[in-house]
Amino acid sequence: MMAKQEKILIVDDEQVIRKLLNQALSKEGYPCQEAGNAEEALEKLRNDGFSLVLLDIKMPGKSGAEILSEIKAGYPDMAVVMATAVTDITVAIQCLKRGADDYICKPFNLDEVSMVIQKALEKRGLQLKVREYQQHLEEKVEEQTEEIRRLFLGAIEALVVALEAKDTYSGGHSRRVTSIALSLGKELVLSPNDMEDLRWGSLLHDVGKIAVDQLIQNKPGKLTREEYEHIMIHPHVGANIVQPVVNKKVVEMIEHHHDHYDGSGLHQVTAGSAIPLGARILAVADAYDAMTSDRPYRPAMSRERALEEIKRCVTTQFDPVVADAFLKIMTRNI
Amino acid sequence: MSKPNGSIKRILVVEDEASITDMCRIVLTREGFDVEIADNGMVAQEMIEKKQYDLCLVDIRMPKMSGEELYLWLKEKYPRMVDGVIFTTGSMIDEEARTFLGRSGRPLLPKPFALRELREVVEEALKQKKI
Repeated sequence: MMAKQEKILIVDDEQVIRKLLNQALSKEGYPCQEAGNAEEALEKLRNDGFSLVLLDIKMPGKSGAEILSEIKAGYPDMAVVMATAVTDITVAIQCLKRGADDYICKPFNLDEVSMVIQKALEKRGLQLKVREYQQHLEEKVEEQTEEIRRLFLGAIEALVVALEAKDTYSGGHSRRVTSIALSLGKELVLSPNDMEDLRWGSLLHDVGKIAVDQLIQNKPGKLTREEYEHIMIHPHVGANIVQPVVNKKVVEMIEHHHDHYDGSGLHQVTAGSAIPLGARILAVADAYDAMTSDRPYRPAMSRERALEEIKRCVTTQFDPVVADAFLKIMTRNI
Repeated sequence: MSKPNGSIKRILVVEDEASITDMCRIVLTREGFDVEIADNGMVAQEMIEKKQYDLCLVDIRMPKMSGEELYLWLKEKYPRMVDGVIFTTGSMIDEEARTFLGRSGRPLLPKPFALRELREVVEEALKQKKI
């Protein structure tokens, strides 16, 4: 008989019975060990990897029925076959209800023992396989989701880069704003989900500029009121563009990213903390990057001047909490 | 009881939702109002007993004391203030509250409201009060 992988622990208080079972099962190819009582059995289970326990129901001290739950709790994958006298069938059935896989009756018919054990081990093997399969499937799904997300993000990034390429002044703006916004999110201890939304929102915040007239956007002089109002359609247009592909939070973030904290912005419908937090974060990140970049009507401001400007606009344009976090990050990163 | 300064109008916002009180405080302050907040009806009662307010923005649904209860209390103790009440409410309002609102004849501002709607309802209520 070929040697088998599954190790069996034989637990019985009678040495003669242990020997008999050991011999029979060893002949079938199972590596076996013996334990004469409950404590010894638990000790051996702790130290060695068994697949099946053949457990005598009646033993002096702790009975097999008593340690069954303990074994099932500690080793959920262990197959357990109870051994019982014919007179104790009811106890054996109770054991089945509590997790034992099967039972054999004393006096044993060795062929039957071998069959019951084989069946219990087969069942265990199948359960393990199903579990492995499920786990593998979950991993696979997770992998695929991650891959789809990565591709999607890549596609969106490409779109943003294409959009920015059209405009002399905003190359790399969205990516820089994303990086600032994410450090702000980290400083404000946002949840992983909110961070993910913030990443999308900042990457996409200016896609609405596709609808803005290039001549106005790149106009070297001061904008007229009408021209400014025209440029300011971009948050709303952007929100409409991305609405089918991102969640509501991201849409709102984009819609409100030019809102002023005090409600004084153009066409603004809300103010203060009623403005989504992501939009308040974007407002600071966007303003800082815009100020420190060249614009058609002015060269880039120095970092110091831009920070001064942010400080000056706290509570009017910017949320004090967000602006404060931003200034903190910037002083740390000198 | 201290009277409000003739030129600066005083508004009490009775509301338990922080983002709404925040928005009202910021915007109405910028509009030149003196804005105070009570996050429930009981606090509002204490404040009204100490000070006079030109307008009172009252949420219909609040813990501890409903907007309706606060309104009835005002009607009994400070009847002149009743004309300055503006109710606010979320989307869910039952038949009973609807009937009460209709009977009171006071303006209703459904939440979430836009800044423009807030400004308009406040402006309108002040105009009505003067007449």
